[in-house]
Amino acid sequence: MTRFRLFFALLSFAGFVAIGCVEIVPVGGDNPIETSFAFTNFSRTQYAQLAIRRSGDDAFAMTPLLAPGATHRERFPDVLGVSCPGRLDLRVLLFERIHSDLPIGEDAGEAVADAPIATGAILNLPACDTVVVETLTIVNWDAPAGTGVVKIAQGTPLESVLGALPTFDHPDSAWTFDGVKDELTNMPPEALARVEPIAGRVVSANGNAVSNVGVLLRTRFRVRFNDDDPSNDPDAGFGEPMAVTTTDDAGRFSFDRPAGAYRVELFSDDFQFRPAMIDVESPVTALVVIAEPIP
Amino acid sequence: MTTCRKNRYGVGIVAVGVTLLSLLTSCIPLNDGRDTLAAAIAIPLDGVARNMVGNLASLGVIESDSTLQISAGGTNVRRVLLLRADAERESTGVMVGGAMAGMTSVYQTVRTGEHFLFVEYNAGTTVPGQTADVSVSLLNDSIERPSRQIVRVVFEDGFLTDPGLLDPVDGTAADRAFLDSIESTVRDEVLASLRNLFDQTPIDIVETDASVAGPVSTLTFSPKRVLADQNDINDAALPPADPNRPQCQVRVVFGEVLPSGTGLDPGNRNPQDDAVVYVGSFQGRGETCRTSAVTSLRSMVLTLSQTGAHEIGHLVGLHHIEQVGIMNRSATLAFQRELSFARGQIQVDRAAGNNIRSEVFPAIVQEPSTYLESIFATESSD
Repeated sequence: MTRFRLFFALLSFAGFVAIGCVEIVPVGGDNPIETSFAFTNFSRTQYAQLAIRRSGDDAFAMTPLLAPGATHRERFPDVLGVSCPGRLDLRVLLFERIHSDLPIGEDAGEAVADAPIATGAILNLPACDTVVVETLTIVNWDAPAGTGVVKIAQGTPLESVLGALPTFDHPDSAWTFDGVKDELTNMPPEALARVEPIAGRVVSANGNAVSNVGVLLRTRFRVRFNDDDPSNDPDAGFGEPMAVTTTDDAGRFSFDRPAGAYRVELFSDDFQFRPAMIDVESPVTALVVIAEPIP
Repeated sequence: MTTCRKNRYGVGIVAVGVTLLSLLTSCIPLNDGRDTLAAAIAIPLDGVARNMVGNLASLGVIESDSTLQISAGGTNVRRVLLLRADAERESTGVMVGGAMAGMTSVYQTVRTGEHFLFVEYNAGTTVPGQTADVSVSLLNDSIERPSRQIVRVVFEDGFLTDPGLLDPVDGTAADRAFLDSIESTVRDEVLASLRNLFDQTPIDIVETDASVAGPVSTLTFSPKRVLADQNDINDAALPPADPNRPQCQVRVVFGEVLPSGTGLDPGNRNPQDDAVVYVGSFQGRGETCRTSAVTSLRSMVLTLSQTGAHEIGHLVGLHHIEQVGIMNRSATLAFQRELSFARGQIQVDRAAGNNIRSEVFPAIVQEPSTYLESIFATESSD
């Protein structure tokens, strides 16, 4: 069995992360590495939840319902009672918003339909019995209503293992599904994921607060990507503005959204900003943006 | 049985204080590190010096508020860790103390449970050399653990510009002016971030000129850019392999406990030690290799504060862990999000050519809150 972990390479402030692999050599017994999973919803419009269990177990554990952009992270020892599950069964359920005409940030309660619009299920997904990854990523991409595209373990050695399976015959080795499986037809949505802060301050270069600056939030999305095919670009980006606020007298602003990937943009008639937009992985509590008067 | 590959932080220091024990030694059978804690050989708590072979030994169940005296040394011994059986998982020990080799150290147990001794050898030590001279005894007197660790944070002049985050090859006058203009803001925000990270811990962050009583450790933000030696892996890392930018494959050191090569202070035995963050190491050289750090105050604050927190973690004895958290070796730059001091299995990184070889001790867990509760006098105990 090969053991690897994600190694997010360094010296690249600009890119979010560059991924390579570093061999893990476990020393000191047969204890497994304590691993975790991250379920991310990079759909622009649909809400998503994941059911997960160790293959052979009876019960599924369910993540909260994730809004666009949201991520749910959990350690396998906490959710499945094992450090590194050998094989996994997964179910992904996608739900449509009821008030889809409203920006999410103005949609109190963010109600979704009572039943999923698309579901997918995988049994016996190879995991730690094949390759150990420190964090197993399961990412729901943006896809047309009624369909799902889910990318698993991207950027890890497990990705190529999965890519050889018939279930992952998508050009980007993703898992695709459509419609609703019979046994999941009436599966209700879970509660929404709890919110976390995306908060920060806008200050002048000498540290003084700058008030009444507009701050806008977008969610990250991901669609089919194939960099050999320029017609696919952009394959990732940030959606329509979902919430907006202004800085207070102390230069502070804050949004409450589930943990995830977002873009924060600053705007003002009087100032320019360094930087004018920040891509964040929330929760974040200490964003700091420099405001400079427009000459 | 398979050889246990030892961990190492950069240039290994030579263990001192060897052969300080009695000539009346007995031999503990080989435990080469592959055995689980459950199978660890027991050491009597009788103060008799013994020759221990391998990594792990059981000290048996020890009541809370007991005082242990442990001596461990040997030519190849680097550090000794005290573990307590993990309440969360079988065959796993949680780090509750430690000391450098050659020290006779006293520990106050905080909770009742089976305890273990883990001996960490110098890098490259193979099985025949994995022997330690060990004695363990229970003392009648209790000891007073320190209640706090004060860490003074120093920002050297020009920490952002000399060269700091200024690229001396292609950096512009405008870049310098901008960095100059935000220096005090960066300093204030980094301090605030460090205070936030260590809130609810026994670690107090104070400013350079703060008046404090008692021993103080120091964390310095230096403007230097420090290139790493081939074998130096103290919080050093290579940028991602990129065949289009071979000139950017420069190994640098982001920070370290001083003197260089110390790695960390197990058990926080030295409350007046120093660490440094090399701010200049976060900037590449030349247009191709430059980072965008100079355009984002948020990147600067997050990176410098989390690197500083990482080094403070080492100052009080925390190891690198495999899992994502402040003490992950690649945490500082790689994860552009706010991290915490997370539970994890201790990890050692060893240079292997141009790659980094990660070695994990799955049986040894670092739970920062448990560790800090054990080495500092806190209110909670059973």
